[in-house]
Amino acid sequence: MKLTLKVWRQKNTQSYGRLETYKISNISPDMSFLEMMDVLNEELIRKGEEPVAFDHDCREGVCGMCSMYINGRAHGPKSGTTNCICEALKMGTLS
Amino acid sequence: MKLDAKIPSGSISEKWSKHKFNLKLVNPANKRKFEIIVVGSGLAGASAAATLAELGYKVKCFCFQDSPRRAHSIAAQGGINAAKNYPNDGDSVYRLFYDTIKGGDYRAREANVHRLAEVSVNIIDQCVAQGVPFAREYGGHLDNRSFGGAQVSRTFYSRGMTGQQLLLGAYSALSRQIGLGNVQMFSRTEMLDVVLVEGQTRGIITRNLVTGAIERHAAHAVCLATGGYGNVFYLSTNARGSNVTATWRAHKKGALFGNPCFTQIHPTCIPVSGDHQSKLTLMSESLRNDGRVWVPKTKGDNRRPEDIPEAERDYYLERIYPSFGNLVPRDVASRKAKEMCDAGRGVGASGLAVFLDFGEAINRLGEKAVKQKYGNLFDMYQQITGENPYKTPMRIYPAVHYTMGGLWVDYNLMTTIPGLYALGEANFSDHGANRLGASALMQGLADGYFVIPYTIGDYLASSNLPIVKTDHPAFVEAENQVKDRIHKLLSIKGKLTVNEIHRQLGKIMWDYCGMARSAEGLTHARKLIQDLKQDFWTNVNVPGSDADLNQALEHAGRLADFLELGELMVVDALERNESCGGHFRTEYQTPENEALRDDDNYCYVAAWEYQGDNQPEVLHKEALVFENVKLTQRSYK
Ligand SMILES: Cc1cc2nc3c(=O)[nH]c(=O)nc-3n(C[C@H](O)[C@H](O)[C@H](O)COP(=O)(O)OP(=O)(O)OC[C@H]3O[C@@H](n4cnc5c(N)ncnc54)[C@H](O)[C@@H]3O)c2cc1C
Ligand code: FES
Repeated sequence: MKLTLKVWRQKNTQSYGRLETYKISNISPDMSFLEMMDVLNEELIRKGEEPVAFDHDCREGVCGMCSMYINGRAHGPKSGTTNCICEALKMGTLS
Repeated sequence: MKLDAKIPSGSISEKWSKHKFNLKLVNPANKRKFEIIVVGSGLAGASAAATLAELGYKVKCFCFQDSPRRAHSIAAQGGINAAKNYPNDGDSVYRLFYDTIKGGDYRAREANVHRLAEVSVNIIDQCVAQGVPFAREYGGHLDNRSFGGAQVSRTFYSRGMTGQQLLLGAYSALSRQIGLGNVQMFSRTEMLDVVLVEGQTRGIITRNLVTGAIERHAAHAVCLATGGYGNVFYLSTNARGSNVTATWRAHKKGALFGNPCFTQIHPTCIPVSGDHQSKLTLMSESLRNDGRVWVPKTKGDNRRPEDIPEAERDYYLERIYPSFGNLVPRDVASRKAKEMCDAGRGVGASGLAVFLDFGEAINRLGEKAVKQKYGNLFDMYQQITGENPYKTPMRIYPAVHYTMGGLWVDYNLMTTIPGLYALGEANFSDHGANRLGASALMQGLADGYFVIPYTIGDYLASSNLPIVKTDHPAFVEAENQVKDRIHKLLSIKGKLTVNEIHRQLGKIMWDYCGMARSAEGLTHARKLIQDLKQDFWTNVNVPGSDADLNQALEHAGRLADFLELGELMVVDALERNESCGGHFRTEYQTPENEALRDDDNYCYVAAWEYQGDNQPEVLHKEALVFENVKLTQRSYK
């Protein structure tokens, strides 16, 4: 599967941020939203770019570290679930 | 070096009380003159920091998450053991002690385990006083459920989220002390080294994970409560951030590492679904109270489970172990699942899974009752796999879960470096070669609430601890070492990503140092790890700089330590020519394929001493003496 992601990139509080567009392929329907971000980051590192920083830890919906703002909603549009266990597609497309 | 475990004399049930009396005390007015560093804010760290501050010491506490309450302990599901005997089913301190020694396949220290069982009852009272909402029965009593390796019910729980509730209790106690100014909390801060002055532990070096600043912190003693190292396998049930760095750096400064190869592989986890997988999710052991494990009787039977008639199913745990059935200890259940899959009877697309079936329980109790007991776990399963476990059996497979090994500590929880303590999963102490379910939470809280507050005072009161400031040359040197290493990692700029190398390390560890190990495989693995380490230091690509948030750099530093630890695990597994608990050497098994111990030659704790980069480590042995429990072949039949 191929997806287009628009990710807010901002170096730190002093610098300006911007939305950056990334096209990624090889996304399997089993991947969680964070696993999709892992794929993107591996690609960025291989291209010599800086990966996207995001918080995460337990990756099973308990610790509350992952808290991305997706399609206008904190934790993503699918309610009652976290970025780390919800499939990438459901997270991105439901609104 | 001579290992002295400092086990007190006297009968097993008196050792701890006598010892507490003999420990030197710090008078209340003097306590605030002592500074103590606690690294870690999980159950062990938060309970220790809160309690030490409550006693009057000045405490600094560190964690790498954004808040202490997100420590990995929060993910614990099933429960916490305690010998309260509320169900009146024959439990006692002695039985919990006995079950733990036996469950650990006779490779733990009797005195420590007995103390653990003794204080288990205080833990429950402490937590209830804090307001931890343990499940209750209709009459108001705290409820208990069963866990593996025990024939009594002694597990206290809060639905499938016991760790979270216990951590919130400890975190509240910690927050109170932070509010009072007795604990200074440093979150998003990673400890990268310990600092020794005249052979005593006098502080740590940290990195602020947001700004990249390297900082020095001085103290009179340091406690490491930094958790386990299961992520050396890349895939595990641990939180992704869990790592060995704190204990490994301490090891390189002289702290001996105990039983590194003792790893727990948990039988019931959601199987791997693809190469992208970043984490394995546990399905709590409590499910084995009602779930029945089976595989088809015939090899390669790929019908849907609903279509396989009863007579063609093999409920192999019930068949092989009639008295413990589905509730045999974890090492046994995991190994049998592997045997079934290796024999071609595994299920699912990969053939690497067995069924955990609730059909019978649903028929007997009704779907509603099953939902009440396990609803959140069933939901989690459905969310991750897309299958409905009320309708079709779960598919499960073993996964790395816990590490019994860790820093070697004496009875006072002190490592071989004076003033450096290890608590919780970070130490090697109480579980021998296999931990029983619901005993990690018990041990973490025992160490933090009830052991360290007594033992650390003895050290502070009886040691000569001159004033040391952070401009001392030892701090300068340690800081420079940390900085050099970071610069080195950033300067390689090779072709491999950190994640890629970590995944490779994980595969080597899983294939050769996982559920079944052999001399041949381990020897091969050692070479593979050495080569991978070489690849890492010559060809890794760590992007970005050291002057701000850099998660790839954090991961790279942790992986560098895992690579060294991985090699030591393999060496330790190779050296232990016996099978015991989770350490299963294929050369050493009984005719029934159970772990075959060699008590004459291996009844000891293996404690390894670092000798410098790429030098073989030196093995020290702490002989295990059993004065109360008779060593027998563990049987759950
Ligand atoms: C999914 C799951 C379920 C479990 N369920 C149960 C159960 O039901 N019952 C049971 O008894 N056990 C269970 N366990 C095991 C148990 O949860 C752990 O063994 C226990 O919580 C470990 O606690 P800890 O305090 O030792 O370490 P952790 O909770 O791992 O805490 C480690 C702390 O150290 C900090 N840290 C680590 N390294 C550094 C560093 N270099 N610098 C600064 N800070 C650092 C971290 O930030 C964190 O605060 C489960 C484990 C898992 C994975
Ligand atoms: S990573 Fe813990 S809730 Fe998502």
